[in-house]
Amino acid sequence: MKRIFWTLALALWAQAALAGEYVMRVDGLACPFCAYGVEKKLKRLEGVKDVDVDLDRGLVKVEVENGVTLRDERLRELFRDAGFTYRGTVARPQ
Amino acid sequence: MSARLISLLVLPLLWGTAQAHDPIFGMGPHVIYRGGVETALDWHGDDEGGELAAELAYGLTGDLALDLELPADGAGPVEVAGKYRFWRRDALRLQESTALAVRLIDDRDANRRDAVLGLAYGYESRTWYRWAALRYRRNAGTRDDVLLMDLVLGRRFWPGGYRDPDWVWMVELNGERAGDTRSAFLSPGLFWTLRNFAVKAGVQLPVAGNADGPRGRTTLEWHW
Repeated sequence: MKRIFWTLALALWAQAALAGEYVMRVDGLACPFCAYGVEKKLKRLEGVKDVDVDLDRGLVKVEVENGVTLRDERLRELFRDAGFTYRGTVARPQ
Repeated sequence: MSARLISLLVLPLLWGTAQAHDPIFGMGPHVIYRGGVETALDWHGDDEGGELAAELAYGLTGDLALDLELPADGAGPVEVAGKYRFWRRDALRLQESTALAVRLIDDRDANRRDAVLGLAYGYESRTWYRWAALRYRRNAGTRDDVLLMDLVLGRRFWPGGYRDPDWVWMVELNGERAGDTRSAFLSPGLFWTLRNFAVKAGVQLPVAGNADGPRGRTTLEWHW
């Protein structure tokens, strides 16, 4: 049982260590239905694991696999295609 | 021109595009995102009956979408439309925009083709919505052309999170003019969404002029 516990804990830690999170400021996000396009477009990028949107703070949070880089120019284009305005990245994976 | 005939002329126009977040009876500036697909089932009618249509829209760019509308039972007009959002202002928690739309209506049963040109402005924030629109319908043959004007106010009373159900309550003032006939409607409605699914429903109550009523509309919409 102890072995199973530590194996599971190690697997979870490895999973977290292999992921990172981008946090981006995006303007124009007022409604969840409209913001759905942001999630759709981001999830099509290779290495993107999960997307969340904080409508009240204008933030888009993207969880990515280790080593995945999201560049400003690509993000600017992506959000423009989604119908919003990318203002910048406020946090990147370590 | 009788009120019933006015309704027959205008009801198909009310279909509009089922674009969310847009008013239920008026026109709004919203377009689906680039590469996005919108499907909708749209019902509209009055106390004498209703019609059901299926709609498909595609986002060519982040500001331009094309729309196709077909009668669900195969009878009735086929409509093709394009909407271009030519101005947009994005700020924290809000979006303001204007769009131009063109719609072509091919009524094969009546052997006529009509056209609609529309201009819409919209303001959308986490709590308040407001829209204003003008549409002009050029009717083929001897029927009067129709001018429609819409003013809409909407409110999200309980802003939730991105993955929560979302409720926007709205009231529209819809004006119509065809020849010498003028009508005005007060139209309460609701826009409810959850993730990529939306339900829009409203009723038009005649408050002035010649039109009969009430008239209703319900739309189920999905974004893919």
